Amino acid sequence: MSVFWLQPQAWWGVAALAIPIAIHLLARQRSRRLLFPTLRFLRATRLAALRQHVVSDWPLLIVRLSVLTAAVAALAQPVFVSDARRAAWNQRTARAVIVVGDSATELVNGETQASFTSAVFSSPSVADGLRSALIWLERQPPAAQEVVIIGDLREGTLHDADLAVLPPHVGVRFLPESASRSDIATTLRAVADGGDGATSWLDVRVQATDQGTTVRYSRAADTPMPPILVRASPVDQAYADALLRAVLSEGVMLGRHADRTVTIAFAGAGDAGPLVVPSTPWGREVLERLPDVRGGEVRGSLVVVTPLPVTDPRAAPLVARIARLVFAGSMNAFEPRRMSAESLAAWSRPSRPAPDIASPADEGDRRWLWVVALVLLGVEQVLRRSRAQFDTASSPVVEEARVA
Amino acid sequence: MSRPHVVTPTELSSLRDLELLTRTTVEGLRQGLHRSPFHGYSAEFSQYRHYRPGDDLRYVDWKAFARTDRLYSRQFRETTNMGALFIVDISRSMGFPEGRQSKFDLARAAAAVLGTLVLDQGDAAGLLAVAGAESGATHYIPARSGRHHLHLYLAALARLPLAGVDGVSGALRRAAALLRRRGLVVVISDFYEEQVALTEVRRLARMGHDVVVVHVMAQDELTLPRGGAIEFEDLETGATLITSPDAIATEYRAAMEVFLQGVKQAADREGLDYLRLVTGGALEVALRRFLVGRRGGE
Repeated sequence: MSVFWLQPQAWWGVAALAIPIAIHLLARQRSRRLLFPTLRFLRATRLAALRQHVVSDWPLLIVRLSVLTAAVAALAQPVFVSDARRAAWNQRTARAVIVVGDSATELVNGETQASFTSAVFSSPSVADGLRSALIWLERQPPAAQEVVIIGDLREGTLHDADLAVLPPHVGVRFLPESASRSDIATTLRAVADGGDGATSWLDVRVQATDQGTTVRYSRAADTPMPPILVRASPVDQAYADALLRAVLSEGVMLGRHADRTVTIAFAGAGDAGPLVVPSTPWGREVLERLPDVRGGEVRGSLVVVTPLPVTDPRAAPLVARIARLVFAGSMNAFEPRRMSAESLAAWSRPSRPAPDIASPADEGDRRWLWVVALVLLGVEQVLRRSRAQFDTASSPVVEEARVA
Repeated sequence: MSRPHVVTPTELSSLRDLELLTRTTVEGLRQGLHRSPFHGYSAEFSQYRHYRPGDDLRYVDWKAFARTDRLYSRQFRETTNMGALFIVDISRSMGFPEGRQSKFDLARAAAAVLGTLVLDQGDAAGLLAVAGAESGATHYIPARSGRHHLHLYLAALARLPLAGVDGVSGALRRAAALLRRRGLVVVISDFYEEQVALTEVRRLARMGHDVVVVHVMAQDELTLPRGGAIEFEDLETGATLITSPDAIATEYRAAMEVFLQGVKQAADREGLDYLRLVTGGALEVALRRFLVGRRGGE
């Protein structure tokens, strides 16, 4: 059994009470003492006893001090922590729900309604949500604590270091959001391998429903310039165009990032012009991932310059790699890779009893102290009346003064 | 702190012009100033009785024979000397107040003056003090007369210690056992154990003794010292009590007056002489007034 005080500053009230009593008892003055033949005609007066700093009625004093102490203790709002109460606290759950990405209302409601107390944190990243949840959990009354992470849980969005901020007793649970397939409906553009050397485009309509995924191919009504241009020496330019078609026809779909264009300049392509640092983040990211080539932005278009001749066997993989880097976003948007069930299981853990109670909540225990104070007040009344009756019966001498 | 001399020579001599006369008859060993219950032939006429053969013809009242033609012998009240026993309370309550003339000092002074007076008039004086159950010590000087005995009596008074808590009742019981002849018993005490002590006094009186109750009190215990809170300590029991004399003075004086009147009325009911002596007062004046009053009531 331990006791927490929610308003410990109330104990200063006891100190304030103790100061005059301590001064009164400690600062004893030498009393005038007189040897007298008999005490039979004398009557003690309480005021005189007080002046002499002598407590005349210890039981009454103790009861009165107990009344005041119980009242102050009640004002200090105690929380008695017994084993049973600790077990009850561990039966309830304070749940922080972190929603990453789009809202998942049904899941969130299900989690919050089953909680003793809960909070929902919408965050673009799991790490940010964990930090907010931790701050909130530290302020919650004693309970089993759990963090529930709801979202699409893409791979790479959570790391061990993110979860390390959570205390060991805080449970972690993941609820992968089952994305509604009806939301996935997009049209991508793919290069059709016509076999005639010309570039033809296909519209690829992808629609995912609960019943399945439908992919429809149709010839594109327009023939836009491909977003990827391969430049080589005039002698090898035809070879370069064929190489590009071959690479694109292998499945690189161009969809959402139609505004992106890239030019790959092989040896002999001539001067591409002054290369400047790309103004777009994706342009800079692509170049960072291609350390063995030179690149930059020319008139708003990304230009990658390589000394390789287009006939080099490494030319086709380089084109394919650059194509994937530039248009990878569209591919991920279509089918993001999610964290595996094994990873989630490794990170999941149940809630455990907290080793200590940081912030107990008011459990209303002060009412018991008020009851004690009232009972003691009754005892004080009984004692006082019995003293008065005894005084009256023992001597008719009127009291000098009534000192409560 | 007892004084080496219980009474000054001036005090001793101041009352020698007075006689301590017993108001009741006392038995004595020798002819003296006091009436005896035994009728004999002395200077004070008592009664006539019919002449019986063998009566001394000197006491035949011839004038009565001439008038009545009958023989009457005159009887005289035999006067005798008196045995006086002074019982002094030596309980510790008599030691109040300290540093000034205490009740004990006053009691011994009164015993010394009265004892000297008794011895000076040819009577016998004795002293009895019992320390009580605590130590059981008894200080007893049998009643004798004579100049030499006066010195012994005064020396014994001077050596009396304060001891015990039983007051004077133990001494009174002892006196009842010791006194075989009726005489004068002077009890000098503060009578704080008045119930027991007055019972013993009554017993002595009913044994035929002439008992004089000398109630010794201190001025401070009659009026209570003034001042703020005082812790009073009982001289006999050591118990303490804290009070404010100013606050209880009225009640105290009333209770004290009830006590004083109770002792006096108890003495009056038995027809005993009662004398109250208060420390700080003139002992000579008080004793003189008492003795004059006592002789006047004889």
